[in-house]
Amino acid sequence: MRLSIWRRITQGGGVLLGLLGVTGIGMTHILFPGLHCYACPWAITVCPVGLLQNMIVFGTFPFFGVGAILAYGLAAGRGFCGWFCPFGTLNDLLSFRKRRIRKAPSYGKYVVLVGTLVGAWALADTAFCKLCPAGSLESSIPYLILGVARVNRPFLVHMATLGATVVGMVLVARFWCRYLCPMGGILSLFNRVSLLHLRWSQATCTECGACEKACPMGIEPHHDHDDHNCIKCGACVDACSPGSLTLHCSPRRRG
Amino acid sequence: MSGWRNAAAVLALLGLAVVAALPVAAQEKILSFAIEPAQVEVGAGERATVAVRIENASVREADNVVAAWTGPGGFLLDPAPQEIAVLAPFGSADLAVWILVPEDAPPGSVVGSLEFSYTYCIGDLCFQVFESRDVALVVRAPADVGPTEPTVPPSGQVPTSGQTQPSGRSATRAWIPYAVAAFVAVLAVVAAQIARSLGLRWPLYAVLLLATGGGLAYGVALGQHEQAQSIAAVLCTSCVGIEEAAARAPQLTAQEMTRIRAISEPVDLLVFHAPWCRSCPFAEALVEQVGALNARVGYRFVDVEREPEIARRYGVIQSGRTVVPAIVRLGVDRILFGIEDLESRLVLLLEEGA
Repeated sequence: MRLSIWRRITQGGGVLLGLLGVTGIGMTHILFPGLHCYACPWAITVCPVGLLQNMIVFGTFPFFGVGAILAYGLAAGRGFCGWFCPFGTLNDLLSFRKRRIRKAPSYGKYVVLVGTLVGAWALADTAFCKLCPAGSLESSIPYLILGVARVNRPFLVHMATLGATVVGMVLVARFWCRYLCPMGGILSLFNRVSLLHLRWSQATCTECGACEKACPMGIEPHHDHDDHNCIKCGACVDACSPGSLTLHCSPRRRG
Repeated sequence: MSGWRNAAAVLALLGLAVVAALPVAAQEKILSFAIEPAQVEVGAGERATVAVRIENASVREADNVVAAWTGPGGFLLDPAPQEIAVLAPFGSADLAVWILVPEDAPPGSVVGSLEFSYTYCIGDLCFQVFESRDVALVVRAPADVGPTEPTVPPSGQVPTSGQTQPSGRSATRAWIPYAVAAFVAVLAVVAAQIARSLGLRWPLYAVLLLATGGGLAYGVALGQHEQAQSIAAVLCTSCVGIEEAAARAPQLTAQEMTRIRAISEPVDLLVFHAPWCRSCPFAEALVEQVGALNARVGYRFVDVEREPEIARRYGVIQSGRTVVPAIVRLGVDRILFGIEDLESRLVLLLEEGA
């Protein structure tokens, strides 16, 4: 079966986990391996970015949060972006134009990540949460419907960031994941050591460039199959007719 | 290869940014000090009295508000001004300060400096703030000479020094773990590069697995998993941008006050809050004001982290999430969430069924 079909199934699982609270299960201790607002009325998992900010605001070092993020990073790196994150799934669903921008600088997410952590420190407030488009979608809108929130300035700010992100996602494939997501920024640091990884066989590669065209993140899998932007979605694996690219979840070979 | 360099650069940047941010303390001046009168005339060896109006315009409680004389020398605060142990959010206090002028003070104007210090906390994080205000004193010439031309200070206003003195500010932020973590992260990247150049991968995995297991185990030992759960389970309306935290005290209009005074039936309110919630003090201050206006309005503050079963019983938990601040009137099946337009919404709730 093609990887893309498996991926739709696990992405559906991510959305289901994100909304499992609808069954009445309360908040658990589990960190979500992606960007999913914990203020969402149906969330049962903790948003890692929100947790890090809150712990910084409280003046406590987030040992538990960092440990859990390290565990996710070692398991799959940005694989969670491609296979699990509901906001990443939304990016996929909205990429109507399938336009690829290659070689565009994508360090914005590190700037957002550092800004988020330093902002929490300097302002003693969860500043990123007030702009987070995932929070707009999963928290602001549901609470408006539930009658807890009202249309006010913070709500409009949330809608503005969500609107801008949606426009970006429609115009550029995986716009949020590629350029702005702080969670993607954290997970990308583990892309070269994660168990889930791409392998590339030089012997069979014909340098046809099909993988480049298929990649939603605008990277060149046949040149760098461990790029920090790789979400291990397997689009290149499906596109590679000689089968030079394969996705593995196992300890890495040396080299 | 370039990816590694990128990762190294990013980690180093992260570490640097965190370290660089250390002096950027989150503290702000939450109290304002106004000194009356603007200028005091006093004889040598006598006491000058000034009244200090202290206002807390924030949602945080200020503790241990102390005044001290920082110059010029020879002057004393006698008797020592009272220490204000707690100044509630949106509260205010008046402090009388007696300044004893030395016997040998030469006639003329003296600009002295009163330094106020206080502390406030955000969660486990506490700050001590020092703030100076100038006091203009005009020392009269000895009585036998008679009142001479008073030396007039440049303006009638009490000049304020405006800025807090950086040297006097201190933040008790636990920054050491952050610096250590940033250092370890940079070290890990360097070690990884060295290991890679030697063709070894296991040392890197050993370090990462150790950090993962250690972080999780130590975090759980500190109870951080419970903390994570409670941070996520209790939602304060100003934390995720449902509304803004109030930077002002609640203001009831004259009409609203009349309507509150007119309530003739006993009303019982439960005010649900969390200690770290930024929008809650506003709701608490408003209910206190209402209670002071009409004795028939009884209220109780409920900390949802300490008494979650009460929150559950009164339905403050919305779809598994506790939203604070929330006001419940016993016997009325409607909950007021948040603080936006809370004055008018609360008055309507109080009048319900009347």
